[in-house]
Amino acid sequence: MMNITNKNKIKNLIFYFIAFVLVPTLIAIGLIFMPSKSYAVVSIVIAILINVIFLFDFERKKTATREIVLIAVMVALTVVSRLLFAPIPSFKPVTSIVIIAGIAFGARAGYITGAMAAVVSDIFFGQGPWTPFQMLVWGIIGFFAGVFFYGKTIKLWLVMIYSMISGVVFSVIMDIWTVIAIENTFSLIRYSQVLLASLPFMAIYAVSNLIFTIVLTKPFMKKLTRIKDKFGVFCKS
Amino acid sequence: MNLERKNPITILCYLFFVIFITIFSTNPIMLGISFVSSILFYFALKGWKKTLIRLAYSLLFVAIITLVNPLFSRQGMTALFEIGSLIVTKESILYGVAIGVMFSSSMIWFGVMNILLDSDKISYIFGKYTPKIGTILSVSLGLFPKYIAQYKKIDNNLKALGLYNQASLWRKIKLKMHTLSTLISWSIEGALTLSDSMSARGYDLKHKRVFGKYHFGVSDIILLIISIAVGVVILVFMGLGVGSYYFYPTFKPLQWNVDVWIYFATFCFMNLMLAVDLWEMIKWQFSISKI
Repeated sequence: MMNITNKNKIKNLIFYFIAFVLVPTLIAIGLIFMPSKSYAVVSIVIAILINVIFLFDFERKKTATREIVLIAVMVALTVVSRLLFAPIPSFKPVTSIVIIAGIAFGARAGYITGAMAAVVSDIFFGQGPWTPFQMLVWGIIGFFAGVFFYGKTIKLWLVMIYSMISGVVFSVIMDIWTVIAIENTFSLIRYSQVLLASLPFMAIYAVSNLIFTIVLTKPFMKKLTRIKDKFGVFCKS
Repeated sequence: MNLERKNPITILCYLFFVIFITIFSTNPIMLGISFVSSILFYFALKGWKKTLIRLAYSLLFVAIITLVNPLFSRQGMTALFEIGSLIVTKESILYGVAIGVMFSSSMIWFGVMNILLDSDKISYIFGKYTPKIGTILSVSLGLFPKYIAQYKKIDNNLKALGLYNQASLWRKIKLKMHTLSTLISWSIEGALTLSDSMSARGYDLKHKRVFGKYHFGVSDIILLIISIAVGVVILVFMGLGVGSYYFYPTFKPLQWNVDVWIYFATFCFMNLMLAVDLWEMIKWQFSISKI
């Protein structure tokens, strides 16, 4: 028994090494050694690579059928919620639901929920070069929600703060993509201009995340906890 | 339509190379080739009306980018005129045009991708190599319309109960939230029934296979090999700096060497590789009755 958990630990360590050490080094190498105009190539390749790593990691681990279907249900719910709030620009409960999925299901499942929410909703709203970045950002939001809150007693105010921060992070990372797409290089001046222009959107993201987190977290978590207790899915091993 | 029956992986690979090269080229001739062929593809798939609308949007986008770009970038050698402290240069305006064309042609290519790769094909691509992700994708795609229908049902029930009568805005929002909450509990309960019935039908078995109605035919393999080869050739050309172009500080004169010609010709070939299918579809678009 001990042996298996040790092996798992080593596997996890390798995975974290790839995700948080190898990829940033790759970015650094790309930025330093490649010709100056290749930021866009590097950024897209990195975004796709991180997604591939996470998806294959999920594929590698054992997952019960119930857990797969629950993740699919959460993804479908995010898309439904995005569609229901379509008339109000950038006022969407997607991030909040992804955060809740991360809290309830853990870090990996949180990443998968976020990334798949991006893919499925872009099937309806249009794919574009932004898809890998959306996958990445929502995935990371779900991932860290799992890291911070999974399996602990939830303090709502912490989740609220986290949701606001993730709204800001969403905007900031998507703006990096905007700058790279327009300029083909990354300049801090241009970036600050774009950030300034997108401040209202950032505010809407943060506020909407806050509102939806306050409204949704408690009832949603109550239902998910009941299911988790009753059927024994997504238990902390 | 032959193109829609091709293997999705081939189509994805082909479109990935075309879009990738379009996004990262600054050479005006490359951008022109890409723009024209993307429009051609879009027309072959969608017909007159939608293409014209798309074209109008693209031109609007190009105009906006062209107007906005001089505000941000103050580079360039040839000053045209001044507005206050802002010097508008020829380079920055033309750079705006180029970026606008690049963006709109890649958007049109993505539009083509959305038509050619519908949800079935996307879940096939995911399901082939990552079966769990494929399951998540196809299950959630199947659940999505059910949830919308159920949401409407719940909402209509609340309406029939008269709860919306003379309700204030706040109460309406609360009712919507209530509807969403009901939908969530209904869907989570349904998920477990669904997963149990999947297990009962053998989803947990080891030697299951993934559904896919597409197979790798000879034409698919040939197309895949050609598109990878041509794409790699163009990327190598790009890496060597053939046909590279810059706008700042001033325009690089266009070069017309043999290798540049080869470079353009390869990209042309890449874009119009599917010309046989394309020609068929364009003929189809023209022969649709207008009555």
